[in-house]
Amino acid sequence: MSKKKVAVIGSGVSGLSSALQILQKYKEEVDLTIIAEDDLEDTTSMVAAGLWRPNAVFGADEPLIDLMKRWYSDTRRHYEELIGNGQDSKCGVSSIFLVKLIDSSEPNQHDCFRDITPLMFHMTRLQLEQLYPHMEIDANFDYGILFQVFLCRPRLYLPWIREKIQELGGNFKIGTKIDSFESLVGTYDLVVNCTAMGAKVLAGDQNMIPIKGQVTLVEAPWITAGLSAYYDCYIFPGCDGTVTLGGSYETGRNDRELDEQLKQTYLEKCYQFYPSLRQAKVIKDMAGVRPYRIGGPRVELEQLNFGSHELPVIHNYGHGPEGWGLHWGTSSSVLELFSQWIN
Amino acid sequence: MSQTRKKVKVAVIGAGISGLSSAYRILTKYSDIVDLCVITEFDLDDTTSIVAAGLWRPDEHFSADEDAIQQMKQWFLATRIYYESLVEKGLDAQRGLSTNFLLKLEVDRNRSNDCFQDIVPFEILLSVEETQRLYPHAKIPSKVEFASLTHAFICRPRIYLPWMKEEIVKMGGTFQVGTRVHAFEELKDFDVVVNCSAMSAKTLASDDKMVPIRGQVTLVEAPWISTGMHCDFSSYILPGMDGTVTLGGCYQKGNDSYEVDYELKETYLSKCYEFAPSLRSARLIKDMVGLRPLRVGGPRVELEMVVVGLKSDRKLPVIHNYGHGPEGWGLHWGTSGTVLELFAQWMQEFPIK
Repeated sequence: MSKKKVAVIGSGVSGLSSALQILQKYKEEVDLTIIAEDDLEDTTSMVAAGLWRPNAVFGADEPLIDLMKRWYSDTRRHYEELIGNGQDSKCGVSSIFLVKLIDSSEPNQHDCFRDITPLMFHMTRLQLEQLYPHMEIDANFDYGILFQVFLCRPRLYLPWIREKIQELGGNFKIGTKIDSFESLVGTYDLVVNCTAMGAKVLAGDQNMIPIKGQVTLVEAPWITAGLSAYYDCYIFPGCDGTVTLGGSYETGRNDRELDEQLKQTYLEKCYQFYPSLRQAKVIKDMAGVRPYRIGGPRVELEQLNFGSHELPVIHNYGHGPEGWGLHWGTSSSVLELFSQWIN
Repeated sequence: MSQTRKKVKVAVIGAGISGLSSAYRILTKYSDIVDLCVITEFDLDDTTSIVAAGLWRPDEHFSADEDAIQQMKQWFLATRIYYESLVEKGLDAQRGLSTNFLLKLEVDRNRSNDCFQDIVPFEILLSVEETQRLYPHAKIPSKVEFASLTHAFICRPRIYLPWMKEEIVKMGGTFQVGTRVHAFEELKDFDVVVNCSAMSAKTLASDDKMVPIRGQVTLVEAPWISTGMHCDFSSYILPGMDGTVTLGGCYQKGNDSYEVDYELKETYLSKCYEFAPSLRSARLIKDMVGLRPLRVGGPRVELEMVVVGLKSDRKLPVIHNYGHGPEGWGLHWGTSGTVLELFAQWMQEFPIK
């Protein structure tokens, strides 16, 4: 029986994880190509810190929360397996403690995920002051949460996945932009659409909203735990000795321009928590566009028809700020949909 | 013509954390009026202090009475405040200091370090089940009753000690390495002695309360480890900001052998690997052995007028600062602060020659 020709569009974490999961199960039955405009280094995924921390960013709708719980749990198990196998340092995964300062006037986005989060400990203001005795914590913060979260360094993980994909016979076609699904008819039997913001045009999805974020990657191996206070001050230390300092959450912005003033603002905030960060060597400044989708990520099979030709498209886009938190779960769903189709 | 005061000749015995801290504190305040020499059998690299991970995490090991416990509390607290000031000034990284979350697996439901509860910056208690949730792949020893998660400090000796030595030299201090002091008599040409001789104080100060507590560790390169783990000294993982991790260990009371015990090494390494499997791929840097200089009842920090001289006609002021056991790195800023106080008191009585 001839191999099925599969195209995965997108070389970020969603695309790569989807490709890997399909190849791990169906290596013999498929000819898989990853088609992407951007090389790994230029994806939004590479800008992200790689944080896994369940967050109800898409709203509190129960079926969606249940689905996200499944996706977050799958990703957590994946990271735990890598840690258990001793592969964590190679692929950039670590579990760290993270303190989040909470302004109780903002909606609580974590409680619904308590049962799938390894640690969520309520910290009083006094306890926060004990952790950061040298600074004046903003009065807006009423309390804190001590989480245990995972950090998956894109700089290590993405190349590691790419290598695995290539070992399993997957191909890469970088520098190609897909303007329409129709253009893939005849060449491919099935398409997996992981185009992030590109899906707004490619899939005509008006629910897609760009949310720009800017970060500064520094070398600071002495930082051992993470911190976040809103989106305009966060410190995420990776297992590779680099720390992602951020940031911003600019809804509606769809560009990757670096803003020097914004950078100085978030850096100053980060420095309050860890004065020694002033000495950290800056590796690079980066900006990316979080591919947010109203209603939550779209993970489903759509049967497209172009005249006499049918093209099944498995969508896997719209993860917003949670690409790294959900990817193994959403790509597992992609695999399920793929399995249904191929059988 | 004004009379120049003759410089006070100070000898500090020992170049570990206690000796260097004492020398540093005295020089910081009195460098223009003292001539200070650190006399040491061992260079920095061969001290017990270098073997230690550099952990600050208050614990009671000394069978101390209430007064001694209160004193130790002050010393732990002073060290903590010092570390916090380094963080505030942004000096932590360059001095080898990091703050780390530390998971302590407790085997005794009625653990004795409850006495230091109020000076530990942050602590939450976890059940074994909650701990297992944090480390699902880890094998938690059955003897563990519960765990505590605290915010601890780890100060890397390999960075901090050389920094302190350099500061001492900058302030005019000198070093005499390779000299063992057998009796205070040998130092009678000094005006005052600070005795930070650790285990050697057993003979030098004739202190029977001194007990060696052998420790053995394996230093590895594992920069990806950020949280510490400590299980009753039989296994511990203490990561430093320099990318190295101290794996241990043991707590062998009365054992004074410096030889590496390879069977013991396999035992604690396998326990560490069960907890953090990725450590198996960590490059081994070196195995080290140190004798924790424990003094039953608590560290000795006090001034003693020691009789010296052929006709026993002279009394040499000796400020003792030894017996810190496993807590040298936990107590150093506090004990050296007390040394400085005792020195200052004595200085007030020092005659101008």
